[in-house]
Amino acid sequence: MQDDTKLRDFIKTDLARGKVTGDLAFTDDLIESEILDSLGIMKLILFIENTYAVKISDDDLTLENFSSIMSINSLLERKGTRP
Amino acid sequence: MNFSLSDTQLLQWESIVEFSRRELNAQLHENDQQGNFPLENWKKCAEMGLFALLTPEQYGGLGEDLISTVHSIQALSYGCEDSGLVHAIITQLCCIVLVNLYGSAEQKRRFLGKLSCGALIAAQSITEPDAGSDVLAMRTKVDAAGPGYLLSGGKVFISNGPLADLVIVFAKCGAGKSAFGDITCFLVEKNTPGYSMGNPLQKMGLRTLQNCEMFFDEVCVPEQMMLGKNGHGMFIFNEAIEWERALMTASHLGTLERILEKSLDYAKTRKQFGKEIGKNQSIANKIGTMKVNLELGKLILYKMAWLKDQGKRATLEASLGKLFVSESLKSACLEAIQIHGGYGYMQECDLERDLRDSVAATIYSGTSEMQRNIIARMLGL
Repeated sequence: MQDDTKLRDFIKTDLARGKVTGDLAFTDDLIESEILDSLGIMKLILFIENTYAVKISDDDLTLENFSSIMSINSLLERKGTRP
Repeated sequence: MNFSLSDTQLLQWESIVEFSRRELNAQLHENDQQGNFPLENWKKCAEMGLFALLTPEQYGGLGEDLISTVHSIQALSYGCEDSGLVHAIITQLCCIVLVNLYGSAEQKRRFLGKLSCGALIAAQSITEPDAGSDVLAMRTKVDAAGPGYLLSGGKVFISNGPLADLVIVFAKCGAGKSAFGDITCFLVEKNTPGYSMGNPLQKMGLRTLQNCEMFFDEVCVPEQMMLGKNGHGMFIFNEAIEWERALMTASHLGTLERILEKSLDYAKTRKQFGKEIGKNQSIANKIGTMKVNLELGKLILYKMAWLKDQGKRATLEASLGKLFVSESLKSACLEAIQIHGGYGYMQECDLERDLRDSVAATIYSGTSEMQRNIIARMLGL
């Protein structure tokens, strides 16, 4: 599985700014580390839908799908989009 | 990009404006002063099909898109001077949207038809004393109990609350520490044991709109009354708020257009020092600003509605539109009073009521300060 630079950059510069020091690992827990808050998750969904031309449905909205960059990548791959 | 409206949409505008002026403005002074809900006018709006705008045809609705609907709401608010009634109608429409988007087949079958013909009145129960825009701070909780759930807590400022036959209640279903907020929605019917409400609240404006506190004392809710998925309340809330801000912005624009025309008429007919007061730049500039804000407001409103019709999210646009148009409306009301001078300050001129109503527009559905915060966050700040 490939890391996704655009996704990682967005999370790091837009959502995690001021919340994490150092690098953001592929498997870092975005929810436990409070990188994703209520507005942050909406921004992330908007970014994913606009960047990868996919629709995040109700069924996709699980904590597991958004817990790390790796899990988001997996979600995108299942939706037929190669991150 | 197409900025034109269809013949059908334009005819609907004329029809709703004519209906609103003819049927909805009588006894407004009395209703405003006494805080009365105009139930007869509500029924007339139901007969006019205003609650059915967004309901799919299979449930007895008109199945219109959001662009047509915001155009209709603009027309309603342009013709109807009772902003409290318009707010009540928008609350009903928002509840219909949520049931349609997230309801089970059974919930849609049971409620959509009755809500769309006005036989049932609905309310959204979200705000709490310590949880306004910070929705995730809500304390109303829901616990699994046997085959269903127990709902406990309290809400405040609930629009349509005192009249509501059906309430969409948002409640915490966990610790609420996750990004998903651990919030779940339930449909609660009037007369459900343990559910009660306070007296209608006295307000500065929007006095015909009925608001109250709600109390849930271990209200037993069956699983089939859950709206959407368990724990998905925050997403439902975010969707609801986008629709609400679009519809509210439409109503604010309708009122703004009415106030602009009223000010323009006055500026053309009122003479002082031998000339129309509109010939003075200080008056003309105020009216020019109203026109600028009206036209810019329409652009962001229709973009917002277009995005929703495409099945897209409009978080940023909803905040931009709500902020800009509600502040423009409040400013226009103040300027209109100034243009009308002493007459504008009198109750019979109606502008003082419009001003009181407009203050609420910059508070409900997220204050202007919160809209700026959201916009900043969406820009990456």
